Amino acid sequence: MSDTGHTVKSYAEEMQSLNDDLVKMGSLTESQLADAMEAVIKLDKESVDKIVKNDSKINALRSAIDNQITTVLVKRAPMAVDLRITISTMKISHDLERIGDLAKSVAKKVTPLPIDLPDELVNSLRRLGDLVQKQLKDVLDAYLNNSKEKAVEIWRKDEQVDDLTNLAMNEVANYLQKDKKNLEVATHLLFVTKNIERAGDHITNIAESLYYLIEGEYLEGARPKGKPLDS
Amino acid sequence: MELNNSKIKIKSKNLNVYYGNKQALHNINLEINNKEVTALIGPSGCGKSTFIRCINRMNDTIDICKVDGSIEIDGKEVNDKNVDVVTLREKIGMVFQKPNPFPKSIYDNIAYGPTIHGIGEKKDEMDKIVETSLKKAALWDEVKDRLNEPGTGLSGGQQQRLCIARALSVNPEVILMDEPCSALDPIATAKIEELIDDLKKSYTIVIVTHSMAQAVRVSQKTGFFHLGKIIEVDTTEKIFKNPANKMTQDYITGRFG
Amino acid sequence: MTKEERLKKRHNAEKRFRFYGLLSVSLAVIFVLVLIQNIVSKGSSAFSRTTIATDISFNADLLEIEGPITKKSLEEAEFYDLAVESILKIYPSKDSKEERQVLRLFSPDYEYEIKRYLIKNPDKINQVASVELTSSDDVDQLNKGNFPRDLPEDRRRVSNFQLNIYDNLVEDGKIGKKFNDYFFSKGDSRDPELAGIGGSLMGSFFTITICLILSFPIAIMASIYLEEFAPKNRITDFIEININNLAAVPSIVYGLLGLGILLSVMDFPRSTPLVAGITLSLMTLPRIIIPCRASLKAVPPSIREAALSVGASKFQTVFHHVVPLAMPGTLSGTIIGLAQALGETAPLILIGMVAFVVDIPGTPVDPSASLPVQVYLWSEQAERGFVEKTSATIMMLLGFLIVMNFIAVYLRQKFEKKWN
Repeated sequence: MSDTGHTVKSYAEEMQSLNDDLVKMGSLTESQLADAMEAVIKLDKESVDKIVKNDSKINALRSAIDNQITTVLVKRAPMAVDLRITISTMKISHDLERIGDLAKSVAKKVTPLPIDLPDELVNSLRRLGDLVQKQLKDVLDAYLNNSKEKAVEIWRKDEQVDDLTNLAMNEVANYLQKDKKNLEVATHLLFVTKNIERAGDHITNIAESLYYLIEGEYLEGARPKGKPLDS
Repeated sequence: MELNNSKIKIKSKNLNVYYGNKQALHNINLEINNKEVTALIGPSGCGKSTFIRCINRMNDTIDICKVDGSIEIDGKEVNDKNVDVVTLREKIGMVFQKPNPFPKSIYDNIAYGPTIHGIGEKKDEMDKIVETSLKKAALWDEVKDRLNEPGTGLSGGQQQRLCIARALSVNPEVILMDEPCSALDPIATAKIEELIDDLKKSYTIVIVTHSMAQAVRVSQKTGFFHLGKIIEVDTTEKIFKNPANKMTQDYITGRFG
Repeated sequence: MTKEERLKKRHNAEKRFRFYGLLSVSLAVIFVLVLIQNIVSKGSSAFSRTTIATDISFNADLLEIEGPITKKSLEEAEFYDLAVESILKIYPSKDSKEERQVLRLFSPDYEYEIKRYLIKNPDKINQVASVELTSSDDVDQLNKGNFPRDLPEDRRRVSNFQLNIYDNLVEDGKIGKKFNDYFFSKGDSRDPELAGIGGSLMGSFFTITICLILSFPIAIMASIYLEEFAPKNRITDFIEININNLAAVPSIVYGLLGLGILLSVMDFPRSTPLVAGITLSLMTLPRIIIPCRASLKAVPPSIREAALSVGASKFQTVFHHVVPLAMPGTLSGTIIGLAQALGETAPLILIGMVAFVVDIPGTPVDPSASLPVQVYLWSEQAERGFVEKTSATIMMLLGFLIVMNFIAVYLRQKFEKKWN
């Protein structure tokens, strides 16, 4: 993202390292989310520990980025595009960190789940998870390519995430209606669904930050929403 | 103060300035709003000082300098032959890069302007003018007990405020400031900036500065000059958050050259 | 060459340079000291004169006054007989030749000195009073020890007879030493004991005053105009170059100018401070204009901008701010220019100020001498008395120059305003 061409070379280097750390954080978050979804779909209770442990790496990167940004603000008093890069990087890193946290809590719910979940339910969760993962991948690509069109596209696609969330919620409700004993599992599943949906919201935030970074203006208009399902 | 139609105080149209064969300003079109601070930024030698010196016709003092095009103040042409520079400069005060008080007492520094314009001929009137000017320049409390001491004995920041007070003493409508803080320490700078904030309620201020941060802090409108041309003029917020022009962006983010 | 050797070489070069500098400064100081010592040792004796206390009997009959004795009648009276009679009494003379020798111990002015004494003390009429009469130059030099006594008589200016009288007078305590007021109050004279710089002092004073009155305002106005108002073009460049050239023109050329135009064409009175002042002011003008312009240039442009920006006109800016700030430099430049003019000899010789003028000039149009020309005139005289007078005049001239330079330095320091 950071153009070279700063008269002060170390300034350019600092901006570059900020960018590098954010990209690293993005790919780590991407794989965390993928691992968490995989664990849910396959009910792979072994990988949960690994996911929980990896989350601390993301947190560490976020602190590192925060630190660097403070330094840049103090040292360089960035203006215009540099200012927008620093501000947006900070916001994006916070969103990524939240996505990491959500992936971790999704993975944690795998442990109490039974092995015999209905296929429709698992499928609807998989579809939701796939879409959110694709959104995350797309937004990271958009960041790397500095593409505001893609950012807008991702922003609009959040509607689909909401729709798939509602479908998954319905499946969980069906599962609960089948047997009152399913109450505990269903509660966990509701949290899983909700967390994935929240990850999608953070991705939308990232798309907004990216748009501001590139354009210098905020994405106008109401955020696309499916049926309201507030937490 | 009429509100309609009076938003624009100074308006330059196709202003060109030449030093001998060298053209210093190319077709400058700039509007400066009433009772607002307009900052002019740009690399050294870009013509921003030349531009403000056109407003009060200080360039007249340079033999080889030729000005064409128009600058209007309240719709009246400045470069008109019938305009008397003495009355023009009474209306437009100027503060320079280096504090330049006269080597006289603090009192005489302020009193000089009113005296030559025949204001405050009685002693108590003049005392009043000196006091209000110094108060407006936020210097009164610091110097009220030593008005007869030489102005050159003050600290750099106080000297600059004395120069501002001197400019205010003749009741100008516009104050031009040519890098007023470049010779001052941060605290003196902060005092001047605070003063500018205060003065903009009653005066139209044009400030040339090399400090971007200062331009952001004090101004509502910013113009970026480069190589004698005006590249971009917009609200200060827009210029420093999201300039439209690549050159402006490169300049303010430090990617020049 | 190693680094240490190079370093040593550099240090040595510096040490050598310091040594040479110190050497030249000391040589310069030594030369000045030798010069001053020479002048002072020769000249200091000129500030005293030798007197011979003589009993004068103021016999009213010898004055041949008709009617009552009043101040007026005393002034008109002839004192010659009275004076000669009293003076010859100091030593018995055999014949008129010896009488002449006795009289020659005194300055030719003795009868006037006696007259002045009586006019001052009119109650001494018909009484005897001891009056200190100025001795002749020969006695004066003898008394000051400048005439060796062991030379053969024919090579001495003082005869054995006179020497004998002198020794007697010394024994009687009649020979005295007084402050030489004549040196300051009298004009030129053929007799060194009566010659003074009064005339040339007044001449120099009138000359410098006229020079100041003419050159100072013209130089100031010219430099202000050239520096502040004149457009910068070829004509002003040409003028500037010519001013610089004129400052370097030998002063004798200005003398020729004064001779050719002021005396021949305009028919001004010769040998007068008026002509000298005009001539010298021509010479001084460029020498004042140059420092004036330099001090105007030294006023920072920020002061001009400050004045202009509050709405002062160009004229107000210049006369309220620039000129006052340039004044110390301007004044000291003027004084130094005048000091140069004061010491100028050559142009004055050309316009006839070398004339022998006894009377002290009362106005600038009276013929007069001036201090440097007086030095020139006396240095050509043979009498021993003029040698000391020459040196004493040089001391006076140097004194004036030093005073003027001190005033210049003082003005500069006192009134120099600090600006940053």
